[in-house]
Amino acid sequence: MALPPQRTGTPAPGLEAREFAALTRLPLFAGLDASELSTLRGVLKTKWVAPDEVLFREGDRAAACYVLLSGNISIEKRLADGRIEVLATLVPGGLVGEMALIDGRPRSAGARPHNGPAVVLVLEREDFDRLFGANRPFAFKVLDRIVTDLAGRLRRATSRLVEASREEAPEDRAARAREAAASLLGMDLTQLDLGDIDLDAITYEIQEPRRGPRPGA
Amino acid sequence: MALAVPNGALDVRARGCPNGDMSTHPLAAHFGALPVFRGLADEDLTDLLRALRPQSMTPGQTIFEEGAPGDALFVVDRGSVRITIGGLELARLEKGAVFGELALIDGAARSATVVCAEHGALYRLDKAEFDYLRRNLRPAAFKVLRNLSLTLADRLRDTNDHIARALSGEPEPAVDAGAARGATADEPSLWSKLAFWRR
Repeated sequence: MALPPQRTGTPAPGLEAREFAALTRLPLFAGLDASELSTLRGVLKTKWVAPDEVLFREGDRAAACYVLLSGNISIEKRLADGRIEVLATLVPGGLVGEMALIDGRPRSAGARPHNGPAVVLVLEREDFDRLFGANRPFAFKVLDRIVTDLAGRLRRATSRLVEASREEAPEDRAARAREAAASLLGMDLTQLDLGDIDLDAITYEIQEPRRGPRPGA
Repeated sequence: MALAVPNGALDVRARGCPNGDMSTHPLAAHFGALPVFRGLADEDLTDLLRALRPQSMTPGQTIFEEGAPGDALFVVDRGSVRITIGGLELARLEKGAVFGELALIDGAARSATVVCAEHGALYRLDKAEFDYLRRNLRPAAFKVLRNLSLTLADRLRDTNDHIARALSGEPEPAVDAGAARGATADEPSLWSKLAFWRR
């Protein structure tokens, strides 16, 4: 992915109109009208995460949710015995940390770039709360998507866990538990079709550029 | 919270309030005290009270069955209900408890069976009524969704913990006897994995 010359600074208008339109095809933002999209554009930020940085750590205060635009993000959970288990690897279009918009409690898993840097869209909890409190349709629709998706994931995860509890062999139990973990993560990953979204065309607002190769360079 | 609503009372509630102001309505305090309706303004309560229907229940009566289409959320007003999966009792819910909330959100099939344990009454919030509020972007619907999402968030964390334990091979914590009431002896692990139903 070719990046424009690096710029520093914060929020929008980092996303140009045409490029922004592509983002509206992401499942999280589907169904927003022009005015709501304009609200969205006003609050979204972009963030570049270097390969040796983390997006967030397990236990961190949850202050934002992210949509992965470029690169890969691995979701990690520290197990009771101290081992780190990679629960999933997100691909562009994936949503991570959306529970921040619901209850803001500490992160239940960590997220870090996988195989190179990553670029994410950032939606801050503070902005979301403000818009929700003002009865803005944007916040209602986004909450609706998140809650509906969460309900489905909980159903699938619970049913995998019930299967796990019935497995005799530890390795079978662990396999079902991994399936449960996978079904808990990410919004509609299987339904994502980023084929017609030209991610390369998105102009990133680079925050805190660091050493290391640019995304996709 | 001890307010018993006579049959038919809900049908006239909004009309009895000038300008739809619920602050003087006796039922406003009653519903506003339930966690699922927390944070609702008077006009939001008006919206919801129009959508809620009282429903009496008698012991042994099935409220809904595993696998049935999810068409409503219920709030226990009086009496109690039992939640079972595959004949295994997971929880007993009493006054103020909410069940069937996943159905309200996505309408998918019921994942458990609910049967009346003690004579009483429920409030029923039909998905069709709720969806009407949701489609019209009424704040009432989204405040309820947000309250429900907090419950889902708790479940998600429970599920995460169970997954982490299953992956590390650590045994599930012992289930306390009171909560396990009705659980069959041969499936204690299944029961403990579904601990969130006890909330």
